[in-house]
Amino acid sequence: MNIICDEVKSKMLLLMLPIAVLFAGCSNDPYRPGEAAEQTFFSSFSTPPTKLDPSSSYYSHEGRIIDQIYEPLFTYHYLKRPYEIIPNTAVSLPVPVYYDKDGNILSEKDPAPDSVAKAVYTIELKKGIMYQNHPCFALNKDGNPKYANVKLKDIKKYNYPSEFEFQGTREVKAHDYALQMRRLADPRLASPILSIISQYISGLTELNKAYIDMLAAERERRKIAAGAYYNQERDEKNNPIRLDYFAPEFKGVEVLGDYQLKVTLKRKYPQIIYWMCMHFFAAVPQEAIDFYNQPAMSEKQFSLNRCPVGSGPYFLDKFKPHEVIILKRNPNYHADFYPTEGAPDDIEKGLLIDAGKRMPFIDKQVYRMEKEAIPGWNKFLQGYVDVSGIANDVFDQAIQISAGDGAMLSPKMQNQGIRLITGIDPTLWYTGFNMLDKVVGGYSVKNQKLRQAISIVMDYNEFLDIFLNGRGVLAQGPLPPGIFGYRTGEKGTNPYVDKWDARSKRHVRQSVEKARALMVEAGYPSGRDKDGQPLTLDYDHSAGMDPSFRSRFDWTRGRLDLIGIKLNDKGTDLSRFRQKRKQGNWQLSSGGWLADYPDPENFMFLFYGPNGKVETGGPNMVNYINPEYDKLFKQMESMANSEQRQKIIDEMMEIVQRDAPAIWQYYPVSYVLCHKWYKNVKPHAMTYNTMKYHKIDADMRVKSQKEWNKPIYWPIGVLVGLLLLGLLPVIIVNKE
Amino acid sequence: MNIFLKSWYVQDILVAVLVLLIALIVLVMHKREYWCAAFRRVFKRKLAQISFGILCIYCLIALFDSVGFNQPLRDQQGNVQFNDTGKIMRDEIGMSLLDYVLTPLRESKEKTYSAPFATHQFTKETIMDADGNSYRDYPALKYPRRHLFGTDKVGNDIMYVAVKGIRTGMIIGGVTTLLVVPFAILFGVVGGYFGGWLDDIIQYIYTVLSSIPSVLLIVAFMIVFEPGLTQLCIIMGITSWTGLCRVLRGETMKLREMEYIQACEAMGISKSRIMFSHITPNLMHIVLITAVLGFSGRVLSEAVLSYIGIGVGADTISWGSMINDARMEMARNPVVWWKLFAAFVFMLGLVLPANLFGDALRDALDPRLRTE
Amino acid sequence: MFGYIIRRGLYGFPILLGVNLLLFLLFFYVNTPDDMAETFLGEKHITQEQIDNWKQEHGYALPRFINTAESFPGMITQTIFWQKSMSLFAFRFGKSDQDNSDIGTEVLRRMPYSLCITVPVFILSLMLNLFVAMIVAFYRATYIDTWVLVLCVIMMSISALFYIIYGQMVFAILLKLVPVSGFDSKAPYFFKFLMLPILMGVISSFGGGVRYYRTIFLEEINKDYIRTARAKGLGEGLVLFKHALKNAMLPILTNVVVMIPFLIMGGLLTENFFGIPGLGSYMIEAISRQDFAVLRSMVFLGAFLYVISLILVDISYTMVDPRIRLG
Repeated sequence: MNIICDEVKSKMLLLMLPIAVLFAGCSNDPYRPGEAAEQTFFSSFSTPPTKLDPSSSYYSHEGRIIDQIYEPLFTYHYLKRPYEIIPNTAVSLPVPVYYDKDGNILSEKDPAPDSVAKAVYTIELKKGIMYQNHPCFALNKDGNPKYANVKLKDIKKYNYPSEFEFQGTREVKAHDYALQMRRLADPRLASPILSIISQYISGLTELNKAYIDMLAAERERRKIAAGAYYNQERDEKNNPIRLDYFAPEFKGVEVLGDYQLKVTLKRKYPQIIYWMCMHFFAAVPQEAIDFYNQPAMSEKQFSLNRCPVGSGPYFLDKFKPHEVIILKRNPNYHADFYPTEGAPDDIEKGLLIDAGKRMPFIDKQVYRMEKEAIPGWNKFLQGYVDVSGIANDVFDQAIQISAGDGAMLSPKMQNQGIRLITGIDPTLWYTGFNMLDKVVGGYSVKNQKLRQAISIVMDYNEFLDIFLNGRGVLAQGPLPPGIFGYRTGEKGTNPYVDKWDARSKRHVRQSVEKARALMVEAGYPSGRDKDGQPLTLDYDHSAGMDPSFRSRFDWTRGRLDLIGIKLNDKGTDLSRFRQKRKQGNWQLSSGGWLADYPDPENFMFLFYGPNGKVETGGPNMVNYINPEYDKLFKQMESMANSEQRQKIIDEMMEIVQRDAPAIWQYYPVSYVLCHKWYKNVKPHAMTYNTMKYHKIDADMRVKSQKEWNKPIYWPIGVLVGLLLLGLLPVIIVNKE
Repeated sequence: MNIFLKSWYVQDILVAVLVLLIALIVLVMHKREYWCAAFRRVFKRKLAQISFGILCIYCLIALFDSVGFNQPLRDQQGNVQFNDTGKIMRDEIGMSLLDYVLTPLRESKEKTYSAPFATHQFTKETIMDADGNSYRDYPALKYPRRHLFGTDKVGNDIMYVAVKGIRTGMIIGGVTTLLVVPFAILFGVVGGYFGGWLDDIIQYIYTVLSSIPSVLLIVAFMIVFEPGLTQLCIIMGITSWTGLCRVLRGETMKLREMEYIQACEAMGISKSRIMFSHITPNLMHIVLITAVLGFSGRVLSEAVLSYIGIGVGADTISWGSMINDARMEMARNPVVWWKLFAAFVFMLGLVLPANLFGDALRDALDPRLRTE
Repeated sequence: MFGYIIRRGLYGFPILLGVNLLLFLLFFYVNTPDDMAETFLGEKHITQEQIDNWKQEHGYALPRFINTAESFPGMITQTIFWQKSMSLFAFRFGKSDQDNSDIGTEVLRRMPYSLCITVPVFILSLMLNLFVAMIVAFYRATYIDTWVLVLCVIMMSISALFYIIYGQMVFAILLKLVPVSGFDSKAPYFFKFLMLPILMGVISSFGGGVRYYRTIFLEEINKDYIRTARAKGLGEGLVLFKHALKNAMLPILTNVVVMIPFLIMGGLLTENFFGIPGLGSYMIEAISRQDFAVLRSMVFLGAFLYVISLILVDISYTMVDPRIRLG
């Protein structure tokens, strides 16, 4: 019997020892020693970016990476509000020249849209802008690319192009911009903006057709050559098709010299300048395309989708989309200086301390994967992440709204020196009524009243309180604040649904009694139709995976119950949901619109008849058609901002508020939290190219991290003690 | 197809069949001395008694929640409404007997979070006093000290939500078993008894199904058929059918060689009769043990599947989706622990007795494993 | 032996073919390529043209089983079934529907991350569970046995979700001993990221494991040779650790080897919660993005590993028990 007892003891010791050793000297610091002391910015991402190609990338989690790598022709001023466009790699903002249908130049500055048959933008480029270092520019002695026809074994050891032995660079030329604009038409890249901008840029649709034909012809040729075992996917992996982008004619974009470009539009469209502020219109070198277009490269998964090549302030140094993304300062970055002027209160906020200094300030940016929100938030509190949004559930912990001062940080976080930065997003949330539906749709006065009644009872101020901690502004119509045409205060009230509350200085919904009265007028007294059956509506969504959805739905159901309307949950998966929307086979459904650019046209077109989802697959999800509205929209669309434009927008707002094709929910307010060592931060809703302005005080960071994260060991001792105590019965039984 | 699967009726029919079947089995067992003796052995243990009692309570609640009716519509004065033909008009959205019983709990809604037995709301709110000054404070609850498990984000009583989860849990455990057992018995016994090519085919089918790790098969199935309770039961049935089938087939092959079966054959009793009157009863103890022990495993996996978004779907209350909802609440400070806690307690309350009872059953019915 | 392996391998082929057919039905009949295209093209301006284009680019623009436009070999090879399903046998998983990355490369890249967690969890929990199970078997029918069993049942009845959520709260947030989540693939640094997930993995498999191994030991203990050994006067400890353990190896091994697919496929929950970019989180990502190509490949891979591990079980039997010979 004694044998086993000894064995037990020795084995337990063996088990205990390493655990004790492991925990001693541990900390919750997720970085390597010394990393926090460098000029490095630490952040996290939850969705791995998949498309970093400037032609196809569209989502914000990709934009925050590549907008720092690719430089478009124009950009937004960092500090000034309302947003102002400034030249970036172009010398100046181009002035469009308008032609009528006979080819004569129109003399007016802002001609009527119908008279314009052609608009020409001539863009002058800055000289001396260099690309980042990249192996695709590396040349042999004879001037040919070093890495042409490269074999897999030669590059097997490299994990990323930044590790290649030979690197090179070259100047950015007008040809590179023309190339990228042509790539937007490449069917393989499926550019998300192609269908929109091909309405404006001359010849883009034809170019797209030409590329499709070229690809089909090449595939057919290869299929015949390969015989029955042809497998398109595998074939193109081993031997990618090289599309000669400049083969077809394309009069939309012409190169007039190394530093001059000509862009031709089919019609008047001043908003094109906003598109040219996006990465879709950045420079991409032909060398990079040829470099990645080799079998060995695709074997290593080196492609423009994963390894961008640009001229911006940072370049991508490491890209493990499921673990870490590292950006480093581009040594070839052209002279770029912190702005010397800004919005009125920027000096007080300390945003102009670095005015006129050379950018960028930060050497390295590290983004680590963080799937779950809780760990990410905790790392921010521990000081291991420099910046964080605020998830709703931790809001009360972070923010206190005190009388008079508005939103304020909790004392604990103030002690930590955390700053709160707020800004209203140019984003609209709304619940659409399907205007094609027999019950909720239609344009009669009764239909209008029903929709208005529902809109009133859906009190989004209460919604904002419960779900978003008041982080939003009750919407009055399609136009969010910060966009030309939006009216603040009492003037901007939606008279059919809301009223202005002078005491709290905000809009509030009208009373539920009003909604009940409207229901009577609409023919649904206490929510019963003429047969006495309760009015039952369907709510379509695809939020099956969203944990917060159910409570929101319960809230919606509860609010509608106030006027006797029952709500059915019609949740499906995304593809079926889209199908239903496309067929116009739904009643109620939520939607959101994030500004592509700060122009009213980008919001008002959500209700423009010819954009109808069922008719044309356009963004007018609710299939709203009102000829009067459409007429005004045509007029307003391409107008320069002026008193008159404001007047037209006011008229349009009136129409759309009366018809109420949607419940105007709210405009979200974004809250960003920054640690005290993270400086020069001003939220910018239009571009992600803002990291170059930011600055970090690394010493302060290291000090704070140490102070805030002192490990607690004693519970481990208690645990070990308890385990030993657990062994006691064994010994007792042994004795017996 | 999916609309069919999603409909309430399918579940109700399945529940009804399940109840009938259980009643039938109890009746049959009651007549046989062997089973009576076995259950007397089981119930000699205190733990098994208690477990069985708890399981019965859960069953009862689930049954109550499965009997639905449409409440008559009432007007503002609370009078029942009639339509033109003099029939009572009814609410289109159904209500279960349980909902009716729990009406006080169901209707004691707050605005948002409150802790168990709290008098004030958990979060501060902007309150405006008479002078029009706004300040932040904790508003008083409408139903103070009434919420045993607190309230959730939209103010629902957690106790009510957790009790509603019982039906889902029981259906996942029970209906899946209902789907599994007949198939497993049929294929297992037929395969084991006949052998030959029939056996080969059956063996092939279950090897194919069992060679896919069950999590992966469930994921693939659920993503194609969308989340939903019925779908989940079906796919769980498909994945767990194979294990039982394999065991039954093996047992049948052993029984086939026994003297009493050979005697039956010699007497010219038909094959189907031998299989289902003479072999199957002797396999029932295995079926029972597997069913009870598998039950708890399925309740646990529902939680995980709902958590990764392929469980019962957003419109069904389940413990898994409660945990899913609660995950962000854990990051709050002070922590909103009661939703997670309620799910934990209710799940443990079902799974623990199921495991204990299953153990007791196995000890009583499977002599090889008896430890005392 | 070699011949046997070949034979078993050939027997595995029809099984994988069955798996393949099942997947094909699920992913190409219940859910058609058109559905997939719509899922991926996003909300803005979808036209039939774009759907066709997407299908063309991803190789779904072919007939499913038989291509009537082609003559004999092409009739079979120029189909979705051949190119998308049969190619799995050659481990050509193709491209992800979502981001065009090569699935095979991605699987290889992520596998080490999963193994980093699952292998230590597996070894540690096997050792711990066997050890505790033996102690419990040794003290069978005493109150140690009863209480450990009750503890096991309670631990089994708690969902793994709770272990992870509470573990993270206690060790990373309250005690600040380990990072909350994350990973660093460089050698000494990844250690601190692994501790918590490993600990939680071991704890959550404790209950079930101990109970299972205890049953195996008890089964062995009741056998005749143990009685003989005892009759010879050997101590109970020696009997248990030498004789019973050796003979219990067979069922233990079966249980162990069958775990191989799960080791490689990683833990769905653990990886997601701790932000470890292994195969488990690959699955979760594929689920949330409805990436059917990835799901298809992962299911096939899982089935393949299972078939392989069954063969390994048979081979390892011969090593443990010389009486079993593979004929």
